Amino acid sequence: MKRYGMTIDIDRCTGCGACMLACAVENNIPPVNGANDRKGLTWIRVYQVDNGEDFPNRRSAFIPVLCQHCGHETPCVHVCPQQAVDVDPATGIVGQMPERCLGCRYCMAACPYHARYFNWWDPKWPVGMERTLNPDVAPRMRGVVEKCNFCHGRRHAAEQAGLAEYTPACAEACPTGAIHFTDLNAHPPAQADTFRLLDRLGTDPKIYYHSSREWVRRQGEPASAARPTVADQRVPNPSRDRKGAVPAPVAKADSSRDRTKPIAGRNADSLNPKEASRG
Amino acid sequence: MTTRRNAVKFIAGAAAGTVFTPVPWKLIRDSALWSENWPGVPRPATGEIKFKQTRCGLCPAGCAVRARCVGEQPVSLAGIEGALCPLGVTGHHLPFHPSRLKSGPVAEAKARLSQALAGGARPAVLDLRPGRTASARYRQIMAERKGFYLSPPRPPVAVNLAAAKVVISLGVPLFEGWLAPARVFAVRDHFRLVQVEPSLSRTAALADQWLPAATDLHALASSLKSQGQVLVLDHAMSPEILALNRELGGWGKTVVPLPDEPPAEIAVVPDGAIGALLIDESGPGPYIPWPEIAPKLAPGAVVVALSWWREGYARHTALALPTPVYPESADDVPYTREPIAPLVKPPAGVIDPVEFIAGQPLGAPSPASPLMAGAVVPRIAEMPVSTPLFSKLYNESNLLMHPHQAALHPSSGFRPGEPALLAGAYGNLEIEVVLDPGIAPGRVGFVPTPAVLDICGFREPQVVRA
Repeated sequence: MKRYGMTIDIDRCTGCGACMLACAVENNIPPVNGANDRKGLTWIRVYQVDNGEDFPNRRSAFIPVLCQHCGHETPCVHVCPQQAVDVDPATGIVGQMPERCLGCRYCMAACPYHARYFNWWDPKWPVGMERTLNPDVAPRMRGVVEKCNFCHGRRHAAEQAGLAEYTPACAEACPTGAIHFTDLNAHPPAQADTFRLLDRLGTDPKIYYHSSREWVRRQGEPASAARPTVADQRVPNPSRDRKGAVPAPVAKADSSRDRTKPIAGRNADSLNPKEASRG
Repeated sequence: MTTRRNAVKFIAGAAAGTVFTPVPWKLIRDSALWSENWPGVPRPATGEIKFKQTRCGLCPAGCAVRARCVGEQPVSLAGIEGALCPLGVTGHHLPFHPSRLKSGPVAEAKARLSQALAGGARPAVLDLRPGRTASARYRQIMAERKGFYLSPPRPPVAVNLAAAKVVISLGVPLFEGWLAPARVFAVRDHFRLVQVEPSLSRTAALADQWLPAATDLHALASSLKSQGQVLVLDHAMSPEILALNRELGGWGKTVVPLPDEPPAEIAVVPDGAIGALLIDESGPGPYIPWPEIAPKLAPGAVVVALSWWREGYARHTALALPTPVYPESADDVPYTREPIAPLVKPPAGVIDPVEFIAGQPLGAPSPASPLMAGAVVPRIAEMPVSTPLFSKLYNESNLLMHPHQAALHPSSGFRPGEPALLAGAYGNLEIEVVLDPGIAPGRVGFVPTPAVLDICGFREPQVVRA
């Protein structure tokens, strides 16, 4: 039994975006003309966060956010009416089957991490660029939700080749070595200075983040720490427990900063990215 | 008896009853799935999977590349000695750039050039990627024809971070592509970085110490000497900084001199001296603003841009001829001269710039001259190039600033998203304001695209209200 996951060292992430591009290359994610940051397709997305101070006391960091492959009460699995989302018990990977997807986007609403993306348009590449598509991954059609699956094409290729391990494209492409993909059962992440996003929701995300900076570690939980958790809200109703919707914590967005709005505005929860400022 | 009332009741009842059957829900689902499968989803080509190796030709670092190919077509690129930068990862998409130049008036360019040279016009070659075998050839040809060999500022040294314990960087984007990122981070844990820079850049964000205000450099370097070998960097590795590194004992250790070459700056050319200008823009590379070049041209000068895309010098001449681009072109890495093997054949109709300028193909590259182990040639000039997938970084997310944006401190008085003008010495450009508290008050953050460089040259522009 494996439990695939990642450890991401935020202290090494420069926000270069190589992981986002390598993911798009590997998984045949098209450049979406006319899309904005609310309608784009980025299975892994790097957010810029900061300590909220003004110049010259400002400090910033970059947090790559992808599907967290929740291991407990996986929200997207519970809400999908089509059973298009499943958790592979052998690997812990949360999979998405676009052929089954109806495009209702309940899973997007349920995901506390904004890690799911909707195909608003037919997949189109610049003329001739279709020749560069990865033959191991089928492009998805318009009208379906998609997300990170830890590069299932690479996993299948590794299995066929009899390899025990593989590396997803983002981890391979990270020039600073910030992203490590591993079997968390075999290599549990270090405890010191490690955190997970919205850990208190109890979804057991399998992406662990590391930073020696305390203000960065605080980004893992929104400012509204007093809000009830899933466990607090439980009532003695087995069916509700099974399908219990995850309460969305409230983001404390700073609306005075223009580049914050699209991030905080997508859904009222999340990483509390006070700002995603200039690149 | 069938009456109209009965018929209406039957239809209404049937409609209401249908809602309680699975039919409408099945229809919704099936119509959704059916519409998702309308034609329009491309199928990836299949074929034999091959792996090829080459060097990345996109900057002087020349990272080793392993290309995964379907047949002859690369479908992904990965680094061999360390991961590639974002541009390198998507380098195989450059031939399909929407701005790719695909045809041009070759015969007309040749005729006008011959006519100009026969009339005594003085030629010049602007080589945007100096240090290659082709560059040596251009230099030789221009010497023979009494012309000018011109290039952007070239780095005088390579940098070896592995030999440094403390790095003082004067605004150098050390983690942002100045050196190959993977090579920097391979030794990142062995040196302490002090970033002296007015704005909170990505490098400043990850530095061990960020000093927003200017400081006494000699005093700072002296105070840090006790921690080990100090390396001082500035963007162009200016003579003052090289002298300071020599003082600090870094010459030949942390800074490795590159072979001396005669000056090739465009500033040394007298105004109006160039009668025929040939520009080798056959790959993504630095850009010299056009207003710096234009005064050097004689009236009626012939300008031929051998270019891979329309966004560079092709905007300034009708004689823009298409060239191969990485990974189609056979070339070599600047300064080290390691060969860059083409991964795919260039399309029909493109022109080999060396063949066009020299009259014959380049032939075998000069022998490689390896640098000291660990030394990397910096990329001291801006490379305003992106591939189609870069829309993920500046359109589909906020990670990079869009080329049509400029960043200001919130105290500037502008509103977020406010249309404004980027004002430079040579003109204005419409932009949208982005507020960033990490920018020092009074400074401007901007993306140095050719269009922006053409209005501001190498000086920082201002933002004014539209």
